Amino acid sequence: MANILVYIETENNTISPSSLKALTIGRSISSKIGATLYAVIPLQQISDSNRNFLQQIAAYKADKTITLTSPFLNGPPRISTVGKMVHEAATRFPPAIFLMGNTPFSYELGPWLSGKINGIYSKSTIFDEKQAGKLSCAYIDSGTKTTYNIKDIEQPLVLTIEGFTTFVPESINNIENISVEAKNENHSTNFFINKLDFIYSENYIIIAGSNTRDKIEQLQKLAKAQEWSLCCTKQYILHQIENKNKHPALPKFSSIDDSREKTNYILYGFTATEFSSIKNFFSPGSNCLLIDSEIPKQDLFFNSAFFSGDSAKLLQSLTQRVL
Amino acid sequence: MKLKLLLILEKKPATLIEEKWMSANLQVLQTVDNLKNNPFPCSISIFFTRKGLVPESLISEKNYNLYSPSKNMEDKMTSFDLLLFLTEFCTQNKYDLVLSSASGSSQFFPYLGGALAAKLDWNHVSCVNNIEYSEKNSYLITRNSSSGTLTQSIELPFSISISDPPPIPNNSKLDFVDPGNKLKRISPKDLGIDEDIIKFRYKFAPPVEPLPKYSVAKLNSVSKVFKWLQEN
Repeated sequence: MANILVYIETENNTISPSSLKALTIGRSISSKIGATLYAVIPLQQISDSNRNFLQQIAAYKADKTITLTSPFLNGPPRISTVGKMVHEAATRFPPAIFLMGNTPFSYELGPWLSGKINGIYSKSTIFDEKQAGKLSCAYIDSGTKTTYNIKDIEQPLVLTIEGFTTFVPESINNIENISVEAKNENHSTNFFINKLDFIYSENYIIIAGSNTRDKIEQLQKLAKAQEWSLCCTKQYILHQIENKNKHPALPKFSSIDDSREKTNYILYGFTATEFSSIKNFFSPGSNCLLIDSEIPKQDLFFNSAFFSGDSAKLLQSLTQRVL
Repeated sequence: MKLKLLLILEKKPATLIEEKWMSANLQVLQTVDNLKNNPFPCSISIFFTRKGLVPESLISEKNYNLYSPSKNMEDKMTSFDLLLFLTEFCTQNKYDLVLSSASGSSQFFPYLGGALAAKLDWNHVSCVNNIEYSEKNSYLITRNSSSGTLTQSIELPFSISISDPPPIPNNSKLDFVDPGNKLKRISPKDLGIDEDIIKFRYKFAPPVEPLPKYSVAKLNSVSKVFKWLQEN
């Protein structure tokens, strides 16, 4: 019987919502092909404080849990700690499919693990149950996609799943726990978190490009009025420095910790070059409204709209109207 | 000690303007410039992965050693072959630090750094936006994590995928020891790899389809924008 492994990432004593999405999809695929679903969770040790993780995994209908325990599993996940233990679990329980939620660490673990187990890695993976159980892996960078039939997988797939789960568990599975303990190795423990700079927004994220110039104040007013997030590109900051302009301290858009299925963006004053440098952070289901931007149509793998009218008037209207 | 650094870049497709090529690859080149306070003499090699041209700006830089797979291999290589090729290349040349980009125009390129680290049994960090020398043979790298911006200490050998380095480039220059070569083509035979394996795999590479194109609406009035926003 094939194995499906789902990596469960925890943060601030909760399971990441995108990992739960991966677990939900893992359940659907396992039921379809008759595979065993393993949830792989790294913990320093199993204690009363993290026992609720195991209950939550059971509620999301995993068949078995593999707990990776090691005293070195402190701090954020890293290849030198978590990666090596996940590889050990994947060696003992070789996966047909290895799933992860869309978190920054998954972009690190995915390629590394696929190299270890000779698998195929893809981010931006969408599972469509209606299409006879096909897994569609989109590559925004190259503008291509590969579709895998889940019943016909020859090489292990290591996949980052887009979106977050809407599944509400009603009952708890009886679950078997397998414990994998770390070998006594020296792990680098020298790390520190600097600051939080991710972008969270319920609605739209406005990104200011290098041609934003004097419209930045209007964009700030719009973001404040609608409670949207405002950030900028690296090229915007460079442009302001080159021209010795005073500029507001906007966060730089580099968020990859976006676990929502569909994100809405307003891109203002973008050039084609700066769009291509950030487009890999977008997921195929995004909506983009492009204002005063020059982006070739072939680069847009999203539902997009170009505004060609008076941008000052549009910003004013958007600021005043309740959406 | 001498720092042996390998940069993995994509060649520039003939149809792409150099400026656009730079946007994906500049972040790797810029990071080399940010290796400030590195006390060791440094030898830099660049390995080009895809079919295309090597930009003039790199050929004219005398200190880089430029490498590429042989011409007949470029068309045939799947991602697994490229990985096999690079693993042998790194092992034989004994590199300490491999820098690649976390974005790129081919399917596999953004993940090459991680997969290569696995094959070499090295550690790997992706989406790195800064790297600087710390002490002995360790470096401090900064990257995003779920909890915020993470700074961590790494020890060589190491593989790093770069994403968006700091906006202000540091102008400190590295102390180069080796004069660079002109572009050198390497065949699988040079690395002791059986060429037939590559031919065999090429025939069975999985098919790739283009992503579906979404309709791009053209909105010329404020009311149409509101309608579009409400629909989506």
